[in-house]
Amino acid sequence: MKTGRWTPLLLVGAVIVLMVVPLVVSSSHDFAGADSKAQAAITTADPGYKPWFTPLWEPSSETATMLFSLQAAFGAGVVFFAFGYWSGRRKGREQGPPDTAGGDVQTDARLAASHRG
Amino acid sequence: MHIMEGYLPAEQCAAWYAVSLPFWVVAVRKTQRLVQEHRDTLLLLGVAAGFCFVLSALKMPSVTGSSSHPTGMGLGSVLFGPWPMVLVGTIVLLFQALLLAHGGITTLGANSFSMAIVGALSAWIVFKIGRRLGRSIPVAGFFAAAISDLLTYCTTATQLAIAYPDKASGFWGSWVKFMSIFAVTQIPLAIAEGVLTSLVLIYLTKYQYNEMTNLGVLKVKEQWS
Repeated sequence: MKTGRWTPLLLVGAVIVLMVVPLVVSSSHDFAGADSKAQAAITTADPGYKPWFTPLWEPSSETATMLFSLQAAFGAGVVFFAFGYWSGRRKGREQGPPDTAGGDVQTDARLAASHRG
Repeated sequence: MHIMEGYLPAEQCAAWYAVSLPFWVVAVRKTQRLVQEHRDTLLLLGVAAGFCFVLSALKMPSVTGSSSHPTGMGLGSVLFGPWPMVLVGTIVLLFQALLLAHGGITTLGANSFSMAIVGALSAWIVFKIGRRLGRSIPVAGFFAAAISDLLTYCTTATQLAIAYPDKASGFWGSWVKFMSIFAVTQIPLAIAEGVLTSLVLIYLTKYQYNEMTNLGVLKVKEQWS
């Protein structure tokens, strides 16, 4: 399969559209988490329900935001490190090994010239 | 898809732990073997795990006016088969349960079943079917990730319907209600996850041709550009 030059950009564009359209179309909603909506549905179905276990530790919403960002940043860091590494490696292979010998000869010639001068 | 801490009856928590346990055992063994036999693919495994970390941290808005997050299980399952991702997914859920009070320790068995186990296995099966039907890697990967994402949320809805059948309409009435909360919200997010997975696969086949051939994702002689 040939992937066109613009395919990646189109794909990124599609994701952005998928995220922006709801914000516009359903702008009257509060975009609460589906998890907490399910929690609310349970409480409606069974008003007497008491959770029998509570989280051992609950971060404040600011701390939670930080930890979610850290989770995403860590993941993105690994992904882009790998792509940078592979991209560099491929470039290195295409160019072949650096021509060290030639460089040394030149330096020697320049040194010799400066001595003569 | 996180069932909150304490929101499943104790017996059902235990039951879901019991269901998940054998999958975890196989996952640990298979991942150990992968790491020993394919050391050259460790960085690629890191990318699959990193992708899962990023996507499961993103709460995206959906047309239903609520937010939810993708799972990121598809990419790794396509590359390595389901087992390493069963482990990665469970680690992500454990991290979120312990540090973020998102999901929970009591519900880890149930949540791991829906995201890590159903997510990884379904992605892998869909990818195999897609390849057999002659779809390209990015296209088969799109369907694998999107369907796995959606099935994870259907599983959560089913788990909650089992735990909280509606008094009047029973299991199915409750199932429809939870499906409308989870599955409908998830449709655009599942498509977004499929697209992102497809994007990463396009770049991987460009840079990681040899490694992917070694893993058996690509058949030899299949060319990409």
